[in-house]
Amino acid sequence: MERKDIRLKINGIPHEVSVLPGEILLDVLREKLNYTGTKKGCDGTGECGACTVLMDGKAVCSCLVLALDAVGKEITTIEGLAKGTELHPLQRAFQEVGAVQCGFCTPGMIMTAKALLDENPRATEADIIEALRGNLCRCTGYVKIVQAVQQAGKTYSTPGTEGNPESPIK
Amino acid sequence: MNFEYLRASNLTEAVGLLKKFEGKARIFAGGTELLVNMKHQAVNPRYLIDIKSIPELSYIRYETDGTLSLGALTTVRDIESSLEIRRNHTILVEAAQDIATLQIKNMGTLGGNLLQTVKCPYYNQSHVNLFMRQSISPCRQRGGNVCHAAQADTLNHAVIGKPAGGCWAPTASDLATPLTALGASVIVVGQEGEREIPVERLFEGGGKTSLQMGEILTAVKIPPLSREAKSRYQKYAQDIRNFSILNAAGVLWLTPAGVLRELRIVMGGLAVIPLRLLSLENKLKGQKLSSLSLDEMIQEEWAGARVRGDLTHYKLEKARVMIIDLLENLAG
Repeated sequence: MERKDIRLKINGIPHEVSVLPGEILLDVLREKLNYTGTKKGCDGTGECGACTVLMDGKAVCSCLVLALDAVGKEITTIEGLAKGTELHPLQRAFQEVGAVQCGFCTPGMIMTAKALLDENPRATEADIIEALRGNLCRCTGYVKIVQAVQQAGKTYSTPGTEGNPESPIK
Repeated sequence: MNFEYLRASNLTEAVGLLKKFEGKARIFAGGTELLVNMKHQAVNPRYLIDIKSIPELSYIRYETDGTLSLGALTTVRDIESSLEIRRNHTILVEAAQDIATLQIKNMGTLGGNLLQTVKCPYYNQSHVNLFMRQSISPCRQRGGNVCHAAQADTLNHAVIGKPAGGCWAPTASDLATPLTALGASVIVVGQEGEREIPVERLFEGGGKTSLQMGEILTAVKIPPLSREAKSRYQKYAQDIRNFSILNAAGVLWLTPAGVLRELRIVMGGLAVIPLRLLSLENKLKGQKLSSLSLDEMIQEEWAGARVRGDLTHYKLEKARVMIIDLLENLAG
C-alpha cells in the first residue's frame, strides 16, 4: 500500500499532502492540515453531521470522504467563511441570536446552512429544519439554531443589505 | 482501513477489475455504507474499485415514450431535486426526500441505496479482539449460526413470511418499495454482458440480491406513469432520518366513476424483501373503495404473521393503518 502525494484545495488554498488510500478527509483536515474547526462527533459513521464540509458547494460528511476523493474538488470548511475579521452572515447570526452553547455542532450546522442558503436564499423554517436533519445538537434544542439561519437568510435575500456577496440576488 | 484504491475510468475496466480481484474487491461509489462497514470491520475488501469517474453511470433521462432511465451513480439528492421526476414519477421524489440526511443524500447513490445490506442492530456488533470486546456472538450475516432477532420482539425485523438464510432483517433500501410498485427493473453488467432484472426479483433478503459475483448495477429503468395514475409514498421510522420501520408505496388508476381499475401496493419492513400485497390488490380491483371494509381485508393479509410481543403486534397495526391511509388518500 503506497502513500500518494495529492493536492487538496481547501478554502481556495492548495495544500500538498501525502496520504494512504484509507485516509479520510476529516482526519487529513484536522490532523495534517490543522483545520480543526471541523469536528468528529460520531467516530466517522456519518450520523451526526459535525464533520460537515462543502465539497463543490454540496454539504457532505467529511468523515465519509476519502482524502483521495477530495482531489480536484473545492472544499470549504468553517475556516473559509469569515473574511479576515469580518464574519459571514451565518456566523454573525449564530452569535447574535445566541445559537451556540458548547459549540461542537456549530461548524457543521453553519456549513449545512450555508449550502442551503446558497441554493435557496428564501428557505423557510420548514426547509431549514429539513436541511439540518443531518446535524445533531445535544445542547440547544435547535430552536435558536433555526432562528439564526432564518436571520442570516434575511441578509441573503434582501437586496442592498450587507448580505453574502455570493448571493445571486444583488 | 487497509486497502488498495483503484479507479476505473470506464465500465469495461471496472468489470475487469472486479473479475481480476474476485472476492477481494468491492465497488466504491458514494461510500456512505461501505466505508462505515469497513470501519466497523464488518467487511474487509483488499481493493476498492472507485466507479465515480465513469461518466455514463450518472444521468436522469426521460425517453420519448416516457420511460425514466436513471444511472446507478445518480445521487439520492439528484433524484429528490429533479423537477422532471417530481412531475412524472412523483413517488420517487417523495421516497428520496425521506431518506437519511442531506449530507448522505449528496453522496449516496441510487445503486448503492438499492444494493445496501441489512441494517439490523444485532449485525454490527464488535467481533474484533473477540474475547476483549465482543458483545454478542456473531449472527449469520457475520459467519455465525444464530439470528438474535429471530425470537425477539422488535420493530426492526420482518413479521411476515420466511427469513432469508436465517436472517430476519428487512431490505434497508427505501427506494426499493416505490420502484417495486412502479414495475421498474435494473440493468446489471458483468463479464457475460448486460442483463435486465425486474426489481420485484432483485431482492433475496438478508442483504443479498440476484446480482452474480462480478456484476455491476449500472442503471434503473422505470416504465412511464400516465398522468391519470395516482401514487403516494409513506414512511414510518423513529424520526424520519432513520431507516424505515415500515414504508408503503401505492400506485393506482381509477375509472371516471371512481372504480379501482388497477392498483399496486407494496410495503417495506413487513417481510425480508419488499412485499407486494397481491391478494389485497386482487380483492380491491374493480371495486369502489367506499364500498369496502378494508380492515378485515387487510387482517387477512396478516394471517401467519409472527407476533412475538407488543412491538410486533403494533407493527402490524401500524401497517394496517398506513395502508388504509394510503388508499383513502389516493382513492377515497
